[in-house]
Amino acid sequence: MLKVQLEQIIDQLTFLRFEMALVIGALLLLVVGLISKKPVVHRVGFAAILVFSLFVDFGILETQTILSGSLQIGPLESYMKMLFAAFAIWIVFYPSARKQLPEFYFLMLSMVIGSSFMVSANHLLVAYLAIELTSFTSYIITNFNLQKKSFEAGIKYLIFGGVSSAVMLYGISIIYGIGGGLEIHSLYLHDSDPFLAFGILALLGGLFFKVSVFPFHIWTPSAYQEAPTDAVAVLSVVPKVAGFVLLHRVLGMIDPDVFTWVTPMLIFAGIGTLLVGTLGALGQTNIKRLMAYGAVAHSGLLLGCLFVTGDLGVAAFAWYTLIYAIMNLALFHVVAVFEERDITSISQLAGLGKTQGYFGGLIVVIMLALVGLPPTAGFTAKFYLFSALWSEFQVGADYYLLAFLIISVLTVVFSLFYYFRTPYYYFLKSGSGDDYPSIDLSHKIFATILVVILLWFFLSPEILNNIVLNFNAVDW
Amino acid sequence: MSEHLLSLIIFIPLIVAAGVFFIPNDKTLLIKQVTLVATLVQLTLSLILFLSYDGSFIPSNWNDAFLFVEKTDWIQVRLGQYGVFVIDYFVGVDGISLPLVVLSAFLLVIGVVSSWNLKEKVKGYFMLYLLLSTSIIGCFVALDLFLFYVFFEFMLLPMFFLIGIWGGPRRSYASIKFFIYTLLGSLLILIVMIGLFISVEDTQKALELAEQSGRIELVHSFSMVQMMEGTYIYDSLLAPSSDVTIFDIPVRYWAFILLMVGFAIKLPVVPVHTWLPDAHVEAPTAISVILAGILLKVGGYGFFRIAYGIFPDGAIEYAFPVACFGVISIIYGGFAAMAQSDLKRLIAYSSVSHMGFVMLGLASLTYEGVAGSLFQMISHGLISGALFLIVGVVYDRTHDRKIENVSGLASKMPAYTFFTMLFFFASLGLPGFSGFVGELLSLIGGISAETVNGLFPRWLGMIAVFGIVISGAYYLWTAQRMFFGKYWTREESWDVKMKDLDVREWIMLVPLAVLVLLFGIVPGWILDPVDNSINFFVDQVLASGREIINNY
Repeated sequence: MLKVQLEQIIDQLTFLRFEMALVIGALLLLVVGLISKKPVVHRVGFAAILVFSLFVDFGILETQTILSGSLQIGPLESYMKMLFAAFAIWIVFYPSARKQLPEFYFLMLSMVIGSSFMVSANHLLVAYLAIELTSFTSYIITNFNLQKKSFEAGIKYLIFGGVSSAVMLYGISIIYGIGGGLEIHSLYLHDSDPFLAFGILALLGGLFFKVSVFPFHIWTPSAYQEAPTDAVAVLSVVPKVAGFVLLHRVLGMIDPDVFTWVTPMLIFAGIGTLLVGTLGALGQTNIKRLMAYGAVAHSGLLLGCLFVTGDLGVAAFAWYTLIYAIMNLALFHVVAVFEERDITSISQLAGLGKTQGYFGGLIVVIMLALVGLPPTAGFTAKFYLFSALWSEFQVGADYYLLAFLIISVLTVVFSLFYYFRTPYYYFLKSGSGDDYPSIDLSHKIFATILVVILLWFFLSPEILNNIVLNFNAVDW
Repeated sequence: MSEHLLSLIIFIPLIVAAGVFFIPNDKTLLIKQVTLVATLVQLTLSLILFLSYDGSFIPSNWNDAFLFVEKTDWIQVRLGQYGVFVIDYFVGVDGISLPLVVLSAFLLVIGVVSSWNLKEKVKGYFMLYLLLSTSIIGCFVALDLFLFYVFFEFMLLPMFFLIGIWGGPRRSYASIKFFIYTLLGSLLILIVMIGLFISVEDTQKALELAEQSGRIELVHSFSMVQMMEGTYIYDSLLAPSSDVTIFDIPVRYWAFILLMVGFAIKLPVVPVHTWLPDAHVEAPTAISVILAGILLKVGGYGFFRIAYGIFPDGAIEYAFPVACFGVISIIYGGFAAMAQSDLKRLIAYSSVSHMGFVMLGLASLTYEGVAGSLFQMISHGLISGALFLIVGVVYDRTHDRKIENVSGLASKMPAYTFFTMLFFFASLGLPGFSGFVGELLSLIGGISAETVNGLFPRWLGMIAVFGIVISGAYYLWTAQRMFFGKYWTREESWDVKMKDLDVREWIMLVPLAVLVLLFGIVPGWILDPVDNSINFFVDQVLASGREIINNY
């Protein structure tokens, strides 16, 4: 019996090749870090590991659970993992990458590893471990600038995170006690037991913290403001997207007819996230803090994808995540370029349009995408999401959903106001832009590539859509 | 060439803009020349379009109402059981959009001439100007709602920067206010657009696709023609048969209201007009001309093509409120104009007032009213464009626009006074000028609606007549204060600057004056080719609107 199980486990290990490649690579990188102190070695090593892991990730066409049901793998999971790896590679092009320590890349890799397990987790304990792995990495990363203020943000993040994971663990133990298991796909919670309801609430609370959904978003602005910018780029996309996939899987085990409060609560949390993100962003002057609030608002929209049942929901989610990832990559690259020149507040951008017109043009496109205006892929993603919400409303006539749809459309107006503060100061305000050192060609090229991708996905979204069609709602 | 005429008119400025990008910054004259040539080519092509447009046919349904149609696949997104979402590159003109295209092309040329003396950041200005030009024309000819929306939204961006960078002292405030107001409007349109394409199917396209793929799928279409023809999926939210209500108002009526509000912001209609005076006052002269002359018409065009064309039931149900808002705009805009001391602000408010006639005429759904509404858009485009140029003349010389700061200009600048009086009279609706025709027809429509189709009572139209009296009052009063009496200026240094019109200003004002007179004397030049389209529009809206109301 044991032997059979062991053989099965060894057989199924091949499905974990992506994670294994990353783990081995991460350890190697630490060793290399001891031998060589040249930053370029670490950067190349980091990129090579991720590229290699990307290549081994291909070929999973069918959704299945492995290792006695504790992990789930399939096309969607595969897509998400590739997205994470491909995303993380790009941060070596950030200007701040020049001086990062090997430990930094090790932490980035462990964040990707944790997030991949989060995407795959089909067992509440695995999910918990994966969440803790990414969380601990995030706590350290927030402190990585080693300054007093970042220490403050890191401690704040650590305390909130610690409490939330304790609460989540408590919720998991209640679910185990009453629901009778930990494997997500084989659990179906339909006892109207108030204790169980509390357990579900506690579990959802912990997940909300991870994906910075209202009211558990409070750590986001200060953590994003203080963490190194390349880490923020990863932090704002990889663990968040993984958290949403996990959240969706967890929601699948709750019977909405018994726990009738779950759906309205989710929608209220979504509306709250949108409002907190957009209204909070209005008064910000620090660029990274502003973008952190913007990222909170985007969390609200990503949560909106989960309200849509069926294939349309998966499609909207896959679309939104990819485009969100590209937008954030471009956005934080621009932020990092500014930060390198000690520009951290928006008013310091005043008058740059005079000398750095081309770069400003790129910023305009990125901001357009973040607001969600044509002709950028940001519009396509939002359009897709709104269409999905509308057809969901058409099926169920759920007026909460309509309220969410209307509020999410209207927040676009506010997001225009705060995202466009950047080009507004850049072009419309006059300042001492003349003595500004010119931006490296490499950064211009990098930003141009991302901007072209953003425009191109608007003009011909079919390619992306063909990928999305491979996912279906039963699996995720 | 004629089969791609519309695409050429849309995309020539875009291609030229890409070319301008590679011209060095300091070759400003070359940039201006290239832009001028591009807009002239655009104008020539649109004149060819106008002359070769044969409006003598009477369409039987919306499918054959459009000429110069170009239709190619753009985006096809397949989504399993949800079917295929089809977005086409689909453009065409009918009698409603054709005059607006020609008007836009014409005013865009005037705008280039008017910004000829620009010295700062010339390259950026003209690149944005060309982008704006593409999106304006695209907006008027798009027959695919998605395409329309893209052009409609994209118009905001160049406008934001054109006002924000090259504008007056409070430019940043005005530009962000403009952007936010109009974005709010277009988001309302976006909500309806999403609802519409989910509700509309294209069976013919479904058959075409089935031939390729071998299976029949549900095709969701963005085609406005399909939407106007009413090919709705039976149980969809916006189908005429839908019985879903929100706060006791059917969803279809909500959609109509959202569209009307969205386009009303653009038009603009009181009480959502407050962005307009700010934007106008701060915008450079050429951009004011474009804003008043063309961009406001996009709002009016949206009423015609989208709100009225797609939701005829809403048009009949809400004819009274729409006409009411029109009349309120006429009266309120007039009084507000009278209270202004800034000449540019005065003209901005007079635009609000004159756009009220567009709404009134359209709401009446009579042949005269709708024709008047369209004619008023053309005539106001010419007149308000000219009036902003007139303001630009005095502003260029003195950097001041206050009415009370000058008087007796007639003795010093006779030609300028002549043109000002001509356009003032045209704007206040003196017979013989184009403004008269538009306002008269709209008012006839507004007053006769009660007897023709009973949509709203006669007294609404009668109140609107006072709008003309008010406009007479503020124009004549302004003329008296600025141009007549003893010559006086606030600062003596202005004396040397107060020269009469130069050649460039003559070039801009003469064609406008000629056209305003010409269309006032022979309005048939515009109205005859588009007559059938307008009659078809009115019949179609009334017939299908009544059918929907009676049957469901």
